[in-house]
Amino acid sequence: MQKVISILVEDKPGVLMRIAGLFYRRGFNIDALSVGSTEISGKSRFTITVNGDEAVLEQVRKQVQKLLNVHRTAEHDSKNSQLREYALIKINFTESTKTEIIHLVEFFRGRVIDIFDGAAIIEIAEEESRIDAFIERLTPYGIIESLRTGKVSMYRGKKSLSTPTKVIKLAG
Amino acid sequence: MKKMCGADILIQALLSEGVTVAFGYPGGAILPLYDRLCNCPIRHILVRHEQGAAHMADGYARASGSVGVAIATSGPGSTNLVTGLATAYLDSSPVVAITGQVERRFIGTDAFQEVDIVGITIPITKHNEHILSAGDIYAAVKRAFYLARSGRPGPVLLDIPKDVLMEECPFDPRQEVAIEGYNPITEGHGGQIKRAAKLLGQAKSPVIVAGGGVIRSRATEELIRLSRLLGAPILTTLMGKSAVPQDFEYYLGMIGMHGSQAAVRTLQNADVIAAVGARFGDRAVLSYKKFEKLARFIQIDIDPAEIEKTVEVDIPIVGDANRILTEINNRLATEEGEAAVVPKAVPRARPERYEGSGPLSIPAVVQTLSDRGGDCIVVTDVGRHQIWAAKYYSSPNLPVGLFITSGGLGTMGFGLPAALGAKLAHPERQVVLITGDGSFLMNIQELATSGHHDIPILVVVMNDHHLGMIRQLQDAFYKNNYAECTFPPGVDYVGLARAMGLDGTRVTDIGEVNDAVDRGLSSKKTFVIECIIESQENIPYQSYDE
Repeated sequence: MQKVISILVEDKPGVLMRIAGLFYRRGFNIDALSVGSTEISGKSRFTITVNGDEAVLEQVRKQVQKLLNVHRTAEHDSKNSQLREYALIKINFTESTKTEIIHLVEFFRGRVIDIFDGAAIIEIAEEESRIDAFIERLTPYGIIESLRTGKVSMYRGKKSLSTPTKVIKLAG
Repeated sequence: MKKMCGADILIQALLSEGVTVAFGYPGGAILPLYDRLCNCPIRHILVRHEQGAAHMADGYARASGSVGVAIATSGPGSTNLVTGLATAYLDSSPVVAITGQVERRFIGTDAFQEVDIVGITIPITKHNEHILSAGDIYAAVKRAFYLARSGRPGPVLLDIPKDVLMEECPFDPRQEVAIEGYNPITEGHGGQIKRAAKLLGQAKSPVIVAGGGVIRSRATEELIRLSRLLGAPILTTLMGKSAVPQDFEYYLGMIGMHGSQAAVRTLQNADVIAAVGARFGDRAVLSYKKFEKLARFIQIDIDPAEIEKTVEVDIPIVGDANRILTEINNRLATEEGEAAVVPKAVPRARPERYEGSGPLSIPAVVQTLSDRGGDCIVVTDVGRHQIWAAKYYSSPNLPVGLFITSGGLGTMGFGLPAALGAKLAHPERQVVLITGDGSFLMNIQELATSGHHDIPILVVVMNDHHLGMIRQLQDAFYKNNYAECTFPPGVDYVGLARAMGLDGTRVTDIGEVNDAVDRGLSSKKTFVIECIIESQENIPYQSYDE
């Protein structure tokens, strides 16, 4: 079963290694991973997509939650969250195919961001299944290379990962 | 503001945490600390191998309940701590390790004695940190101690480059230190406690399984109260061995692969099993499939990640065992409906005894030690002797929480340094180490530490010229193919003790054991009793099959 887990962390070197180690240990292959900054200075947010046994995953999530540099974890699905992915696709771009390609790009709400030397780079930010379909439709035109960032996700409504975490005062 | 060097700030932080003793070994990268340590009130125990330092700090922590401190240099000094840290991690023992690191400008260049010890120890520490400025030392140490001892205790490692130890910076001892993103749950969920009390109150044959968490939480008194309120037998895991006095009337011994038959049968007759600070390890459970079907389960653990890690439970309660047991007891003792709990008639238990005779055997020696009824701290190593000790050492005066053994990692070589650490935690008590010829040799060098620092303990070496547990496994699963499990005679353990400036004697007959122990306990130096074991008796296996 596929799960999307987001993790709010302290932006410190080594956090990725600590988190990845816990997934690795229980035999999970991380399908996708995206990391970036948030509106809180010093805090970053991971989105991890993994496949596997639900109970074991829940245990891994609890272990991740125990890491000192991890402040919050959450699980997302299409009901409670908006899930998006970003992809770049480089494709053969010739006089004979460009009209069809541009139509496809418009239909799938992508964007041609570069045309050079007989190749175009197309970007798209969409749901996973829409990107799957887009790539499938582009394949006959000759994909030169493509990449996907993996999912990012956000709760719907006011629910958030950015609520303040408890601070324990030890001295001073 | 006063300026101080990193090493002095580190010492100030250790002193502010009440550290009185530290175990370590110097080296180039950690020398700036040693240069200052010798002028401070902390007693430094110079070990003979860094692994010894980690186990001593661990033994000290287990025996005292406060944080043990181990110090090592960079590179090999730090990697030598690894086994000790993993041992402390698996048995939830509060240890803070401080390692020197190469200077900041050399990090990542494969400099002399450079190793990424933070990377290496991520999976075997509760937390670890690389300190890159002298100004960060004080806060990092305060956090490390708090993390090590709070919640589910465990080891924390701080890695400090040499030039950070030498760096001068302003130091304010009243500086604010805070920790974010760490929130151990101590108070149990009220609803779950109510449900658990109800289930226990209504149970026909409730059984309590106590693990090491009972000792860490100092919950013995409440555990006993619960047992008496319910008339419920208490069984323990290996780590929970000394969670209750050995002569407690409802204590029925240890569960697990090598537990007592009474304990295993008691589990089978239970309708509700309450596990307290026990993590359902594979050796304790025997068979997850059969175990889960035994009864309804209540699981009390301070670590949410332990809940249902291996066994599905009916009522999980996350929090501190002592607090949760207190609340359950208060409910059972006072609330209407639940006050109707009538203690079931449990026959006063008698500790399992070894009755075998014949040539000198490990269990016979353990039984003799136990029958002395002493109040010594008992430390074991790992192997057949460890399990025999857990089965048959049941002196009614064995102090609560002071049967010290490497349960989770099963680290041979743990015993001697851990026993020395325990002795330093309780100088007024006597410490007996029960070890085997395999384990003893793994950290034998610490005999020199014992002599040098005048830390006297009694060592009982079960010399059966075998790696006994290996031989037992080869008997059971490898058609008696005794591959590489014998240590031929030739090593003289008494001579070895004498060569280290200590004393000892050899025993070949069960009748000589008590005299030897008397001599050992009155010795001012560490005393090694070498028991020449003729018997190769294996420990019975338990199962749920009748």
